[in-house]
Amino acid sequence: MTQPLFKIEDLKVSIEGKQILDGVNLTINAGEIHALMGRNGTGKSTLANTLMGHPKYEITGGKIWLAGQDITELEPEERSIAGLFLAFQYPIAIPGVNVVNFLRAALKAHRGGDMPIKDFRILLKEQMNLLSMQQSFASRYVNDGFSGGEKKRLEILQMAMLNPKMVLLDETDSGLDIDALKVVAEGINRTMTKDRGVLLVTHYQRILDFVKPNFVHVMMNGKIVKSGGPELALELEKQGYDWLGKETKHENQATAN
Amino acid sequence: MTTIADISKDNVSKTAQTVGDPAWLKANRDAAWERYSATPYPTRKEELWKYTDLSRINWGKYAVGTTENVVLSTLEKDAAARGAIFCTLADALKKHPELVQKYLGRNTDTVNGKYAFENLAFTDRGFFCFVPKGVKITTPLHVETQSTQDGATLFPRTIVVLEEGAEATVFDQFTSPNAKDGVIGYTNARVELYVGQSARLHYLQMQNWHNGMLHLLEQHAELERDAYLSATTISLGGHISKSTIAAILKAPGAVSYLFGLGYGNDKQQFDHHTMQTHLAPNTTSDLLYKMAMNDRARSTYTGIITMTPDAQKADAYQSNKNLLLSKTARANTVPQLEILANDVRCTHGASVGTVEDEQLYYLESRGLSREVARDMIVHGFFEDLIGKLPEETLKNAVRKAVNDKLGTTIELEDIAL
Repeated sequence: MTQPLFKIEDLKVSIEGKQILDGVNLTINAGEIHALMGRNGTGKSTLANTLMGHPKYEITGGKIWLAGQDITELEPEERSIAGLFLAFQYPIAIPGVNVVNFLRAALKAHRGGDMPIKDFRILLKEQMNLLSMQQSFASRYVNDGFSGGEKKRLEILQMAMLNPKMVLLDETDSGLDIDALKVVAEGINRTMTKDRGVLLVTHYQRILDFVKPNFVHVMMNGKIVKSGGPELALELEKQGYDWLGKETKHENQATAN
Repeated sequence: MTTIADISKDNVSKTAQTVGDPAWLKANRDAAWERYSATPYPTRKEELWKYTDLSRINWGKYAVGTTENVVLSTLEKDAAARGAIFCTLADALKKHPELVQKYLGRNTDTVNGKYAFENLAFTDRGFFCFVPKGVKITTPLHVETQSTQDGATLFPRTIVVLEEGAEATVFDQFTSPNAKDGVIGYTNARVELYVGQSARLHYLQMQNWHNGMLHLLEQHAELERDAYLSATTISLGGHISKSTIAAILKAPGAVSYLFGLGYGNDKQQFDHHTMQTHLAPNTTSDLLYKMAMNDRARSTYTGIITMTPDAQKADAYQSNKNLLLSKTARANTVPQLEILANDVRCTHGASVGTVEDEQLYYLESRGLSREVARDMIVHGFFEDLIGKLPEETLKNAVRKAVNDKLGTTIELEDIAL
């Protein structure tokens, strides 16, 4: 039996003593795209950042597995090198550090040594072209003064350069106009392989018109309350989330009874 | 062995002999010696010495009469043919005594008291750069004053003169190539920059001494009508490093930029004092000093903008930014204004911050270790300042020196795509 690429087991997380995630379970196999939907404040971003190892979030229970390795206790850089990538909802500016040097340092960390400048240049140029980025972009400081669309494109560029096994996309569609959204979605689709898993966190159906998920999950109150196929996203688009709240309440009551 | 503790007038004569003083210079030294002898060391009660305490320095550890290398780059042939001079101070005194006399000691301003007289009395090395009217030197001129010997004492003097319409870039470096661990030294340097009418001078000074150096430096720049000066001070080495940097805008239209960069670790102490002195109307001065301190290192920045009653319509800016990289690092910042004109613009600001956790997390999530992530943020902190240097070679020299000190191997040279 092949092991799953990525597995979240009964994950419980709190911030400053307040419980945010209340036992999340999710398995993602290589080649699958999963969408995680839900309203703001339901714990989606907490989940994405906990998976990446943000020091602010305290794991109080459960485990995270990547390609058979328990990464629950690893530092963010170790998770990155193990093959996990998070495209941030709000990428942080690093003034004075340009995109080229940042990407070189990241690639160096991943490869355990420098890449010949010539090869690096070819790779970067190619990836930037594919994301319709101008060359001048490379000499700008990381996310410093970037528009929302530029920030998200840089996230996708980093993903393309680092070629991770498992990709977490946290609200990558937020703040994008339709053209930027298409470019970003195209970047996600183009780099998708049968070896990669994707968890796409969003609260809009919109991006799912361009990036087709195999599975859709809905999160509420720190838990995945419903899972289904792509049709679930369409249903949410039509009906919103309220019916789910009722449904799960009933379920909970039923269980309690 | 004579040390600073038992230095005497004999040493003045010896130094004069070694350098090859003309009579006028010997007389200057003797006069400086008299003032040196009569002046007590400054104490921490004095405003400018409040943060740097030298009262416990054992001057008996520093031997006088040290000979070490001063290495100069070569002047472009064309500029030399048109009368430009770039040579050691001793050579200049031999070949161009009248010219040197005109400038050496012309500016006698000092806030360093006894230390300034000490430099004047014992000047033992340095260089002279003279660019005549209208001559433009395109290649940066590089001087490397070295010190690696244990107990060394250096009294360098830098003199740069640009006549009307002249242009030059000078890289004045104090360095300790391959110095052994544990060596100590004392440097007391003076720099005089004369920027003539409509002349343009880029002056970059970098000290990356070994960590046993006590480094004192006093720099005065005089700017004539429409002159342009960009003077950058890079402070990396030494256990105590105190620099006083002045720009005196003497005539209308003069523009000066003062930039400073410091990175300290271990128990290093840095003290930068700047003076932007506007003596004439329509003068402009700008200043940016950026200091990053790690471990138990400490930085002090004190800066004063002075606008005399004649300095109407003058503009002055001053900004000091500090980045603390450990809980035990410290930064003091004391900006000061002295405005005696009523129609001027003057702004100043200071900040002390730490590395943001979210920045570290972002970089770490891309596979960078915490150390590399932090060093990258430090480099980024300095980069806008480094970007103000005029030549790519100078930018890379500074980046490399900072990189060497941080001890990481981040590639920072620009790669053209």
